[in-house]
Amino acid sequence: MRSTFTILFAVSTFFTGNTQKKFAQLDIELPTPNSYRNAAGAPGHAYYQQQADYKMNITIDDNTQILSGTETITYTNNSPDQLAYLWLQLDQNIYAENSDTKIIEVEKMEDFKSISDIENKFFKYDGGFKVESITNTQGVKMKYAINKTMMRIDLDKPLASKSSISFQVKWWYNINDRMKVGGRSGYEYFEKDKNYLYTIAQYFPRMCVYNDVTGWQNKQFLGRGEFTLPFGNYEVAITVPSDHLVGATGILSNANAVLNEEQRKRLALAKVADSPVIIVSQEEAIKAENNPSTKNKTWLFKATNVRDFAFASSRKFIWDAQNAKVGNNNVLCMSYYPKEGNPLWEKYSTKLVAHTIKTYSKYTVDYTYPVAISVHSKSIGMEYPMICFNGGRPEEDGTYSEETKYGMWGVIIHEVGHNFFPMIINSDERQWTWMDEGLNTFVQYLTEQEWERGYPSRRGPAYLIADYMRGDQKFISPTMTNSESINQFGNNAYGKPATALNILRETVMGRELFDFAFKTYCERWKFKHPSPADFFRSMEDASAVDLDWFWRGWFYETQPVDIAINRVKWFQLNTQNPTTEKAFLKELNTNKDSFIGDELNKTSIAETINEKDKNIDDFYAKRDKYAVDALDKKDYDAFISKLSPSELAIFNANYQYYEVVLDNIGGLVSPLIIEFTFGDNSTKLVRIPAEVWRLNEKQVTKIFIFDKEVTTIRLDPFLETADVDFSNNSWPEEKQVSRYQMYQQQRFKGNLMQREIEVDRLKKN
Amino acid sequence: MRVFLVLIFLFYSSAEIAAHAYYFSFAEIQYNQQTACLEISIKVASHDLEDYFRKKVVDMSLEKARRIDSISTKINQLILAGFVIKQDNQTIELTIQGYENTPDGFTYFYLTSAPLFKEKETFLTYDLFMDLYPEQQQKVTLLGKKMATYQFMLFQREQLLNFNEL
Repeated sequence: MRSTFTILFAVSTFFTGNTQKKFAQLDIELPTPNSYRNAAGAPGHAYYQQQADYKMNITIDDNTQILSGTETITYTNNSPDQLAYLWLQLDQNIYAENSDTKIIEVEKMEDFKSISDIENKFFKYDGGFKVESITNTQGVKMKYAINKTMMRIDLDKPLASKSSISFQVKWWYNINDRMKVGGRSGYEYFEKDKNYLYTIAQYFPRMCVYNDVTGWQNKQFLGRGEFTLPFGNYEVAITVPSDHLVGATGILSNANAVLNEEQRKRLALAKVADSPVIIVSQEEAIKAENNPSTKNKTWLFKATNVRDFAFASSRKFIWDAQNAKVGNNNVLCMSYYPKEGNPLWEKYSTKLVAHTIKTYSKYTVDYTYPVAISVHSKSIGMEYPMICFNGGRPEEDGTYSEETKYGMWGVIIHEVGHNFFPMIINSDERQWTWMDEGLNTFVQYLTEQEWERGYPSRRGPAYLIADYMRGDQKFISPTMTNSESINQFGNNAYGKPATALNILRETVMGRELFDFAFKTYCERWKFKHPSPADFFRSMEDASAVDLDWFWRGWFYETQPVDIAINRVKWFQLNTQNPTTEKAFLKELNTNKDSFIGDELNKTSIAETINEKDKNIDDFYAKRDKYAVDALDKKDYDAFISKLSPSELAIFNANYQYYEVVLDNIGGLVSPLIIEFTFGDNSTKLVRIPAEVWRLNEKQVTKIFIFDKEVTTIRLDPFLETADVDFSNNSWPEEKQVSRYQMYQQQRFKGNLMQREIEVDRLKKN
Repeated sequence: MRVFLVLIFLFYSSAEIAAHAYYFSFAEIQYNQQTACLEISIKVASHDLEDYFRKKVVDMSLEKARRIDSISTKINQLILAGFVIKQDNQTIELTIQGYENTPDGFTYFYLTSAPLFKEKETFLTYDLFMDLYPEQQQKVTLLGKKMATYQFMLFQREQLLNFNEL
């Protein structure tokens, strides 16, 4: 039902005078800028970072699965402070008997459902570092103390600012069986051919970060909050069985000693190829599997300006490589995988590596490392500088489901992408998971979409986070929560921040502004240690968009977006023309609902007094109030004559006016994206910035003027705001279709490739 | 293999979550006025499901399991064991009508219930996977004219559902 109005109005928001919360600046939440980190979000003029250089000799005993090593660490104190002691990380100690990781795990008796569940409680694995000695460069023992996953080395005299110290550590540990114990690194044993595949990381005592934000970042490693590491240069000698192939962080510096002539020739071809070249084939790998060597060989690697060093080693490896040009840098993209990874790995892995570093370089900073490696390790995905370990294994019959394929693609893009966050843009993972996982998942989404149109990305699009953000907020942690205390790690630290950045790019800032600001942040903090405030400030500094409301809502609070159409009122301008308006009023009067008493009286009262006595009715009773008289026409003519030509044009335009009242039910303020559909099926999209909520974060009213009638109104028609309840997004109300209703049962029980084989078989029969 | 269950979940890392494990499932429930039955969909991460299946049922990929009828039914059984609806202390029978996999790594199960009175107190115990993954969380959204969402965690496995306000 339309209404008419006679007073022209100004478009305005509804104001109830509530206090400003959602749009308050983040002055209290963010640290005060200083000479190390400035107010623009860039490194300050006094910014510094420490340097840790390593020379290591590592040996893997393939018979005992023991890794032993010695390392000489040269630590340079670039801070303005004297350091009385040094802190190192002993990550393997989460597998030690006294590990807090085991002790703090919550349990319920009802989950012990079988004897084997109880037996698991008693399972023991002798993990943890066995530190044999720590000595100075003269071989004199140094004093140290181990506190679970951290080790403090006490110095005879404090390490002065701008000075260095070198010392040597000797250690060993039992490598964990990843398939039994779990873990980011370890080994996988292949029962059929009795070979091992080692993916080795967190295997050496590593320096902690000391900086202006945390001092020593020596927060214990409990298993989730990953690693905070300083940059440095590495020279690593890795001794393994002589028939193993080793892929590692950095450049191989003794190819002549460890590769045969044919392998070196193929490697040279790969270095200039723009598609993968096989360096060690499946046939050659199988031959090695069946004839294990008892001798050893030492591989030498060098890596410059990296925060860690990892490697993989096995005689089972197939190896392929290709070149990728990034800026002026040639990057050798490589994959190492056992035959169990084929046919997926040979077909896709190295191409995905090349695509990832090129795409990330476009959105962040140029990839400047010399190599990028993807290693196949069953079931996991884990990242290190220049190398990562990735799952995605086909069935034994060589077929694979679509889900396995996309899973493998996704994990490779994600883990290779970690080269940028946090390997180059080196945030504090122990404290803030979202700074690397969230940002990485966001660029992963962009990279997936450039790999295949319509790629079914698991995280990134706004609508995918709605299920998580809906409902009771009690068990949802703000994204600005320490890594160990997050409820729902994956959604919180990966999905939500990735979604937030997507919304920022597509809806709040626009691609051009966002991409420039995001790249600015990356350029400012490449090969440095950024903090959350540096990111928040850089994004605003480079775009001139006040985003404090956005950071507050998406990173510091937990409320979801749920905007609802409360009501819609339709108005038309009063024409003032008595012929039109009085006819309209008469129609309204005729059609109005009648009172039941009046209806019953029509029959129960046979005749009223004034119906009997014609002298009762006077002027008022006889008057037709809807009749147009001369005075009405005179008034109308006078009104028209006073209008200017432009006013007259508006007056005659027959505009339709809609007052839309919108409620913010979820609490998280959001831009409004409103689609109007008209009687002729044409549509108009209206975008209103989130600041519309700045005076009243609960409800706003907006007026929309069109030259034709609106039939439907929809909020968020492109699913871009993460609205958690679409049942209140439409006018008139639309019934929501449940998943169940959309469901169509699949008949075939295998994957589609297996279905194809079955079809072929039937054809042949 | 089962010997190592506890330690496996103790040491699962964040990076593994990035790649696969989700530890979250979502269900939608709608009351069908005509049939007086509940129509239910349960969305789980396929990797969570396979990992659980391998460790708690049989060490076999789901793809392989689904081609063997006697084992395939165990997948349905574990879903039904983790999603139990009761009225008057009696378990309401649920039937899995089917499932579908999506390439983004999720599996959807579609269920219907036996007829029930929506006005009666309806309790849902939704502890799917919680005996293996302590951080597993689930959410249920009741659909109607309005929506209502319920959360389930290790220490909050049962909730009273209210269909009357929808």
